[in-house]
Amino acid sequence: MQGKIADFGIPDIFQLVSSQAKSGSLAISGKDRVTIFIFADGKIVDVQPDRREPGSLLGTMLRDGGLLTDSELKRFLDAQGGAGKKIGELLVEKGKISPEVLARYLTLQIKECLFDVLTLTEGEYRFEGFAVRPSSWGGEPLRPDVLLMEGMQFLDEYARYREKFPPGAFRVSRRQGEKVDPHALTEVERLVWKALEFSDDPDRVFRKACLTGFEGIKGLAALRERGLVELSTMEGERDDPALRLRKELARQGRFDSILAGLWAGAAAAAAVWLYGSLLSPDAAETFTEWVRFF
Amino acid sequence: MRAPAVLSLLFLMASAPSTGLAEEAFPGYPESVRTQALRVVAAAAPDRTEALAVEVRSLRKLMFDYGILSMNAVPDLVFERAAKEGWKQKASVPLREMAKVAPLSVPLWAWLVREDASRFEPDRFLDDLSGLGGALRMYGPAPLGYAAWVLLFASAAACWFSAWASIALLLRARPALTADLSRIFRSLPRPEVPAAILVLALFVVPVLAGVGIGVCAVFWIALSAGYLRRGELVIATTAILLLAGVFLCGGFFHSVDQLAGDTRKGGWLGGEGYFPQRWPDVSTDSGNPFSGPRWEGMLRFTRARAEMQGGNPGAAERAWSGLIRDGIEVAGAYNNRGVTRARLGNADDALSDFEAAVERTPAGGPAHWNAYQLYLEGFRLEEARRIQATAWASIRDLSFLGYQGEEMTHGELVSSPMPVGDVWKNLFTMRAGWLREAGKSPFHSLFFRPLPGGWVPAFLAVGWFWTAAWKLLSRKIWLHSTCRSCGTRTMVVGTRESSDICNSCRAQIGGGVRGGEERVRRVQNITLHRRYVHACSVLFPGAGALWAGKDLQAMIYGIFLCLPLGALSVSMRAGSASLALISDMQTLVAAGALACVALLWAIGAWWGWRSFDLLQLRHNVAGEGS
Repeated sequence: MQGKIADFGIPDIFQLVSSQAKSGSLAISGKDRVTIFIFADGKIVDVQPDRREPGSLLGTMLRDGGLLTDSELKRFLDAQGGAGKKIGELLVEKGKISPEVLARYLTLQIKECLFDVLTLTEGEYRFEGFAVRPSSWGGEPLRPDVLLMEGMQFLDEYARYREKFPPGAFRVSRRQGEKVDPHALTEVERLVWKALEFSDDPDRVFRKACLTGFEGIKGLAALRERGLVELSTMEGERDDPALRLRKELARQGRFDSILAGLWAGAAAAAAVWLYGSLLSPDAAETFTEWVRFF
Repeated sequence: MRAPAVLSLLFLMASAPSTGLAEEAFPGYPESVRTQALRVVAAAAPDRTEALAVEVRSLRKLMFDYGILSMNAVPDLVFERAAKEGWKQKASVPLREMAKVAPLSVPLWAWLVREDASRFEPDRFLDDLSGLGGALRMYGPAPLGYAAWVLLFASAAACWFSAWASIALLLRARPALTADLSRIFRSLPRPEVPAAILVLALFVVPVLAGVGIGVCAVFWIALSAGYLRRGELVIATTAILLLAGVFLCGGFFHSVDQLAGDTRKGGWLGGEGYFPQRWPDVSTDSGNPFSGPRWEGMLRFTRARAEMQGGNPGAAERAWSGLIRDGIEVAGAYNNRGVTRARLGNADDALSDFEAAVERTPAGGPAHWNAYQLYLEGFRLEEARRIQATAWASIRDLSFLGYQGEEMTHGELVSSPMPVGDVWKNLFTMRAGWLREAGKSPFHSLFFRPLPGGWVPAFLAVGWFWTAAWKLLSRKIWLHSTCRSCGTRTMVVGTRESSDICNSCRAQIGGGVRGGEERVRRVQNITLHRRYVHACSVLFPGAGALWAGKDLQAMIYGIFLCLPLGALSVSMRAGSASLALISDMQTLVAAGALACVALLWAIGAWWGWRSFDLLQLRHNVAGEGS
């Protein structure tokens, strides 16, 4: 089954596959990206985002959520190539994350990808049927109709919540000195509030809280209405927290190297100075005075 | 007309004797002694032992005639010849022969002792060691020379220690100091940059300005004190105290330097080994620290000895009589006047003088031998038998002078040398002047420039008080503290010991419990800190051990490292200063010191590196970032 999105809308495609309890892969392409959803008996069990969109890849999500470092991610990706396993499976095997955490992030990944493709108005779809056995390390299969309801809400409300925040990149942090009663907050608000400890970058906060961008922005807007958070804008900076961190660490490393070089020069100057004071011919005139006594 | 005038002038200039040619090898001694001494020097060769022994015997006879105990210039010249002609390695045989004519040459005995040790000849070693001891007891400049060497060595080692300690402590305090200085620049976008540059400038500007070690060391210690542990403060205090000692040593050395002058080139104190040619006017110069009756007595004694050795018995007799009249070194003066009178043929008066000397030295001495000799010559066997045992014991005590009673059968008489004990006594009565003299000493300009001499004690005291005050203040105000293990900087108040390992390291959580940015930053911090401490360990050995908390062990290591460095400072140039015996031995000392420094440096670098790595291992941050 294949066709154009303009002729047969994305929600209709998902509902069709779900209602007929099909198993196989649904590839949706648009905006130069291809996202593949895996179905088992009409339920979504996995997703393969386009590699050109690294923010949707599971490893990147886990790194942004603070569960992996850059070097760990690189190491596991290298190991993945050799083992022929998916990175989530590998992480659980190595005990880096628990199966529960993986399941939460896989669900998040599916949701993010679905919300993303729902925004497509042009493009193509292609469904190929084949038997799919859900993996033992993955989470519970997701019902497309439930996700679509959330997706529709996202399409309707995201812009409204987003416009409450500055356009472009911004930073968010807890307002200093604010006392919070956790019971007064909703579940999503509590998760966002807690994740604000981790970073001031909203995307990383949402990743840490394991929330979609839509859920996160709603929670953040609620916290802002309560006066618990404050915002700052990031003029001229590309909003990639990992890149920013890497740049900052690289800059610190460079500064440290320059400083080490300067101190090495200072050590050389000190060596010359010590030589002049204690070993040079001038100093020797003082130190060899005793020879005259013999 | 002009050309002949220029030619005449050139001829006159060419015919004028140069100072080098005019230099006399044995100035002041009688002609016969000078000639024979030159024959001895010429006869010295590794394979001409018999000929040399003959010449040496002749010279010894002449030395007895003129009351000369030692001619230290003879072995000096022989060794210079050996060095120039390339048989220095075979010089031990002729130089051993020289011990008979220069028994008071301390460098000669020391050189022979070294030869015995290197060739493993224990019998000769003990004999030569005895000779060295005797020369030290009887040759005035020897105690001074060794005292000066020890003081210079101790001062150089102390300066090395101060430099090592102050730099190691500054490097230990540097991260926290930088963090605190960055608080001054907090209005700037990257305050750590100007703070780091400022700390670097505080280190390097005094160095580039050529400020003395003492001033720099106190300045760096004063900067670091607030960030140091108690053990490290002990190191800092030790360094400041040692610098005060160096300053005082400068005063002592300056005073001592005025005493001997150039001994080998006719300084008056070297009269028993080199003929004195210049005489200080100690009695009239009130500014001279060596004025006073004791110095005057020593000077007059040396003048009288010079008259004896110069072949002027009449003048010598008058000089000894003057000393006896004034009650100065009466026993030695009586003995020497007796020797002089015996040479003048006045045996009865000579014997009276010897008897007077014997009465004043009943335990023994040269006068006993001399009286014994005259009793025998006068067939006064009863008196001779009475003092025979003491006479022989006295000559045995002087065996290092080459005197063997069995060989002294021609009425050889033994003179009394200038009493060396007085040199020590005079040295230690000058304590009050040391501080005053310290400001004028070479040590002051070398180690405490640009401070005026009078300010140095006050500067050291202020430096120490500032160090103590800064440390006490750090217990009351918030300052940064650097975790010794991971390099994390935190603000603390109170004692450093409880906070110099951060909570994360105490909890042994490695790179951190939470991942992400926080972990990445911590790992980067650990990596940079490890590189810094490793670099410190290699460049300033032992500094890594300070980071590992081994303060007192590091101080002991620093002392051990600085001892050979001090020996290197004192000996390195002395070895190449001349071809003399003493320089030859200093070459060995310098080589040994250099080897010790290299070895200790490598050990210290390894120890510091290893100690720090173990600290990181203990706190579970050893593998992070590597």
